[in-house]
Amino acid sequence: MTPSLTGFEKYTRDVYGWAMRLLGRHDDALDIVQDVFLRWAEQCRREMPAHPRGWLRRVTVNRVIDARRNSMTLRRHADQVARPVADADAPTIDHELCEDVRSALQSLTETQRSVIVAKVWDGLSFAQIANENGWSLSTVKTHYFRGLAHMQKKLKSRE
Amino acid sequence: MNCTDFEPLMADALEGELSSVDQRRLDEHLDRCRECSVQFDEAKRSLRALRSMPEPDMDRCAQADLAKSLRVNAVREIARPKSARYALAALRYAAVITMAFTGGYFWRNLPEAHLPSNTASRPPIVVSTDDSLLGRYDDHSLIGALAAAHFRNPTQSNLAKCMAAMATP
Repeated sequence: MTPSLTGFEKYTRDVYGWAMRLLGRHDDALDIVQDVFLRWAEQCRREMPAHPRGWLRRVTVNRVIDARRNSMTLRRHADQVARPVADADAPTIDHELCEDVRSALQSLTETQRSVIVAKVWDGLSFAQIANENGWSLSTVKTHYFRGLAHMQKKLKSRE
Repeated sequence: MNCTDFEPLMADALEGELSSVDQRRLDEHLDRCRECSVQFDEAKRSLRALRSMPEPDMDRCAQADLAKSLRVNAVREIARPKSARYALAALRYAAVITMAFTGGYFWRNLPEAHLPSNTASRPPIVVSTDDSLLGRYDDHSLIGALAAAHFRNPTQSNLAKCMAAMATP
């Protein structure tokens, strides 16, 4: 099995989770997953990332943000089996919350976004994030705090 | 400590990872600094919103469908550029070898006049026998040295001495 497909087997659910949290729609999340793993395949041909999970996380979040910003039609592949929108079993999430979070994340720097997603949705420790990116511990914590504080300016009150 | 120094502490506090000593220091600062206190509350609200989003799970059918779709596209993407990559590498090697060969060929075939002359720095040839110095020749030709040695002492062969003298720096 090629490294790119090995990565797919290992990280699909994680990538889907990040995309689904940000998009709130199953089909859109699947499109993002497919797009991310095609980029992963291209990257594996050039050079295997030192931290695959971190690379996938960054690309997933940025891909969602870019798609949203550019209002692109998400790439759909002919042999992908699409699930019907009206499927009662298709998972859904509070779309308003997703929209707020995505908009708030879009307002952050890439570094802040990367740290927050890694910490909150991926459960990494500050030390792990620092090691993954080659940053100091205090830098990671500072980005985390500033990103969260800045997000609130964009987020509606959910209390 | 200024406000930026407390930001890492606030990050730890949000995660409940602050020591009691640092917690006390942070509390004292937040009591004094309204701006930091507001930012800390805002960060807490953001974190609450992020954590309230449910963790989605991908069902096995969707994963299998995606795997099938991706396998086809990945094979296409992987196979196509590989030959181009190898061709590019081969071209690079060929270019390096060609340049090295061409450079070496021209260097070996440069007219003698274009070669740097360093005869001015070479010491003169000293021709001598065991007893006397026969002469010093700036002309570094072997013929010139042998001729001089012969004329000085035709009965003896000074070829070996000439050669040794020419070889001596």
